Amino acid sequence: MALQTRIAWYPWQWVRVAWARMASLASVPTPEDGAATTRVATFEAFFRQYEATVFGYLFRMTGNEAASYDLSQETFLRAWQHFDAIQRYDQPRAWLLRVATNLALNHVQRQKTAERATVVLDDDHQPASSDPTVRLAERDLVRQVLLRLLPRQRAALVLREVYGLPFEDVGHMLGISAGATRMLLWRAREQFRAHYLELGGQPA
Amino acid sequence: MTTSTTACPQGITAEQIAALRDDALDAAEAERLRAHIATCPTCQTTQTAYDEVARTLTAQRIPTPDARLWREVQARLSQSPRRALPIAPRAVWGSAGALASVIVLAVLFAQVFGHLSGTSTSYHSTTPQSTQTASITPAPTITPTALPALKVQWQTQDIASANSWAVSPADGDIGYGCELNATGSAITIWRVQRGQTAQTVATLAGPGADNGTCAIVPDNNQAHIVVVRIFGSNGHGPAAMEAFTPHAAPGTGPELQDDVSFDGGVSWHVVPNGIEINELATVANLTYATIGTAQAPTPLLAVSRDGMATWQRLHAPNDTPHAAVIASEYGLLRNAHTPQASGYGLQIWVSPDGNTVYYLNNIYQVGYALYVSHNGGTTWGAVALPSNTISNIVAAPPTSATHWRICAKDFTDFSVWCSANGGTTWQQQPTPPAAIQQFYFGGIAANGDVIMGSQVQIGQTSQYATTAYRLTPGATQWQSLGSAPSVPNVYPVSGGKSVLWAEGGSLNPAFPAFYYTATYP
Repeated sequence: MALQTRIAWYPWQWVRVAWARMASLASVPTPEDGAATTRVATFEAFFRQYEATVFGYLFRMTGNEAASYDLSQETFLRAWQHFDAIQRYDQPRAWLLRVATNLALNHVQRQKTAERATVVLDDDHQPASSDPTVRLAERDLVRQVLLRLLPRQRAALVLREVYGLPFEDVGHMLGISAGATRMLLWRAREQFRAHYLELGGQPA
Repeated sequence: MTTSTTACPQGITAEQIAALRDDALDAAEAERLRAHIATCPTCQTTQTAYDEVARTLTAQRIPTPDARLWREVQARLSQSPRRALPIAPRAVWGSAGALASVIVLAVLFAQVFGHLSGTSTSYHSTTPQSTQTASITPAPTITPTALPALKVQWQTQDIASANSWAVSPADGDIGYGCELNATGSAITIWRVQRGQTAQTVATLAGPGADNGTCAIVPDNNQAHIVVVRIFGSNGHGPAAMEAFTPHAAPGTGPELQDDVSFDGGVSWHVVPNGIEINELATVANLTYATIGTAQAPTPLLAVSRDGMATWQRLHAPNDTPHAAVIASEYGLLRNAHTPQASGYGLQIWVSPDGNTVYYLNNIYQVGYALYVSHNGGTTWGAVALPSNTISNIVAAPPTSATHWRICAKDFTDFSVWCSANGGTTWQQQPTPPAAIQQFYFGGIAANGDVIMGSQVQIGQTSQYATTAYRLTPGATQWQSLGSAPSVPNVYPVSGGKSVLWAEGGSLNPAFPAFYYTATYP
């Protein structure tokens, strides 16, 4: 939905249409055909390898499936633009997570109000303590708890604990010192525990 | 989760313990701290609390992106300039030279995307894909208001508490669940008769690690056969959800062992030799499965004739490691965390006589490929799919009344194609109502109806409203089945009927309980 809006005012829209028409008339393959085929196929393989990682990270950051689709798209389009360089990196995953972090932090900043509303809404389904079926709600509880953390705390905690990024990389991604990263990660854990218990999470 | 941390008598702070966990301390300081923690109950409590934070985070339920993501990325690639490529547009977009090179790009993309599944030459050299012509029936135009409603009656269903939960594909009245206890010392196995409360049928020894988990894998053909996969610690970091891959050697990785029950979950046997079972279908004394082994950690198609003690590999075409890695990642996520098919993964369907086997593979860089064997897996042929851009396939083995029925969804135009003769010929089905932007197959009911679900986001929340639909063979349009908790899964039950199972919960405010079932039709 958001995508369609964006495309609608895309200033090169008419040019795209014109290209597409001309493309349909052209039939002779160019010498670059094989190279481009390989490149797109390679990019698709790259996409397949990392889509779950990028989407999962963005879902953890935004708590919102539609936003995760939009931001995953933006992340991979940036990867496409820099694909020649990224392919040579030892850890393209770290590059993707860095881009996704920036996009997510920008997005979350803009969506702050909306997300608070989501948390309040979900609190209606706050689990009670001992009903075993209700314990399944704890799966969704993690999402709600994460949304209560400050965005940078959330990013640091998820990058470190879920994606296993080295401590130094977390600091570089967020542009903060080693000392600040230590404090941020510690506070994030304490905040996570406090909100988790407050929202009714069970002692494990 | 541990509820409090008090002060350490030696003045060690929680911040230091967090830093140790983050490898943020120098070696000497880390060593001193470890030695202290070994003797300090307060610091151990803090450490355990942070372990629990990590475990809770990695256990978060994450939706799986569907084919829409690649489709939308792909659609925008040609508009998006790449840098440092010989044929990429240079300098300013308005210049004639740049425009010309972009036209070249557009031509290339048109050709590339038109033949996406033909990009692997090795694929074509070993498996000629398309030898039959799919027959095309023009689909009628439908408006949403023209749909007659057949409202399905949903009832809540108790499934107890579970790390993993699955309905038997062979009998929709029976489901199984498993859950690890808080210390990881025991795994409870539940069995559920539809409409009743879940019953504990067995307790197994757990992995001993509180950050392990378990996953239920029911047999596709026998309701009384079920496998439970037992995982130990996921370790720290990338071994969490997305990188959940089979282990390198028995007992050394996250997966500890698989246990199998042949009596509805009451008694259990360890599957020997570290075999990991991803999917299984048993006919009499033959068990077809995709398995992982220590020697071949990516899933392979295999058959066992002795109750899963020994296995013989079936050499299905294009059983490539890449395809298997992708499938195992998504397949395991599907098994362990979401009861709905994710759209990726190896699947097996076996006929009641055990001779005909369909094997769905998701081949690296190529896409879906469907293979069939008519002699129990000895030789294989490729099934011609109706298009190269299929994102969803459901199949139903033959019954006394019907032949193999297979349906496929094209992710580029949302067209639905079905075959009533095992994939020999395909018929295009009526197109979805205009209001539907995305839909998923739930399965094929015993009467031959294809059940589908369409989800619509509620406002800016992360909640979704789902409408279920059916497509009856020969019908000219989709029929609404009314609101559903989520995209329903479809399973046969006795009497030629089917049952729909769907997960509710806080993602859909209209269906607040966790599971619902409905008899169909």
